[in-house]
Amino acid sequence: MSWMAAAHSQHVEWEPVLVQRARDGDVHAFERLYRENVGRVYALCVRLTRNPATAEDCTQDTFIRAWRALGRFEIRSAFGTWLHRIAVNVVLSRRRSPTSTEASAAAAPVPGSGRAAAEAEWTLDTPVEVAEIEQAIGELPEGARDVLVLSGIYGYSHAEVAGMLGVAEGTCKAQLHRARALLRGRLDRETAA
Amino acid sequence: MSEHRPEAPKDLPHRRVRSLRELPQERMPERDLWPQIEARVTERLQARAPRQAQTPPAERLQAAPAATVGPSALAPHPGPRPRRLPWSGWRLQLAAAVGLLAIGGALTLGVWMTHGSAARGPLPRELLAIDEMRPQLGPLDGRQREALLRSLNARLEALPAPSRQKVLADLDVIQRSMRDIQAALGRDPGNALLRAMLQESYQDEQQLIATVQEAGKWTSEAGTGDGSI
Repeated sequence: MSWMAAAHSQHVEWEPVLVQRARDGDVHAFERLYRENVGRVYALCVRLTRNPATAEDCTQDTFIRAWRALGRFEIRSAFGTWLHRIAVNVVLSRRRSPTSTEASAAAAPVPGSGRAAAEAEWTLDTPVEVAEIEQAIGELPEGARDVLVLSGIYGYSHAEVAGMLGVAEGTCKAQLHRARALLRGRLDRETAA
Repeated sequence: MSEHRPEAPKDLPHRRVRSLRELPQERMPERDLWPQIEARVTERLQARAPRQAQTPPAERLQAAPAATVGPSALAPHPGPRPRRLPWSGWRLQLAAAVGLLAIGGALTLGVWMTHGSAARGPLPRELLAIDEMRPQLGPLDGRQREALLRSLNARLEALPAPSRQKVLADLDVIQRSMRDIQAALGRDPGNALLRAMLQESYQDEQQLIATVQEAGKWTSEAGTGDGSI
């Protein structure tokens, strides 16, 4: 059976094939990987940076760094998770940069609001609530927000989040507890309003 | 806010915090970021190209199969490397495009595909033309190939016009690629790279046909209609 037919029959096996082809220098295969993953990478970046323009830059940097580092990627790992790790690195590096533009983030559009959020699937309640929750998450302190986004939204374990953020696992747990409490408080106030 | 949820339960904030994973995990940027990424990636490839041009011809030929589409591209490699040989860059691009067609275009077609009658008919002229290349492609299972082509012909008959056109357009790209490679082989019959490219383009054509055959079954099993793999 050809590699492509094998990929089709197993539905998900295409990713390692594309990764391997990209490692061999196939830009088209890498574009395919970009198209499949850009939504997840950008969503993470925009939640961490709270600034769509900065998130776009971070997304671009993430894929460029990924291309350069493809040779070190373990094919057995999940490519999306690997991209998220790079994206977190890019965002953290940018925050540490003296030319960081995140200071203007408070005035930026709320992640998850607008048409994109309205069209997103949301089974708990209405799209309005998605925007409210995203707003509340965006208002959390940076450290707590990072942990909440990675653990609460994307489901990474404490160990994984600690590895991505370069903090101790205990710190990660404490930050998550704090973030949840803060978020509940903010949502409480909104519900009571 | 109370206008949207007049009967909001008291535990709503807790419920929302517990349900963070229901938030959308994907969001598309307002603009397509790929062109700039591609420019940076290609820039790196081109920066490496002069170094490759100094590589001895024998080594370049050894590297050739990985530069084309097909299973040989799956050989382990430490990282991205430039693949544009100075004398045939556009052909390599064409061959790579064929691979993309195989992955993306053919599957999109599969989603549109309906199960049609298996009426027999004459083989498509374009496919027969490709079949004439067999002597240069090495030993092949003639009966298997003929069955594939006849089955594809039946599929094409049953397809809606846009899908049929897409299949034929994809085949046309593959066949033009093969003709270009053949023409180059005419000028340089001993070129191992060109022979490998021709062989792999032929395999791509077979894979496209096989994909069209399998697409109906695959689509119904997957239960998705978005055309993605």
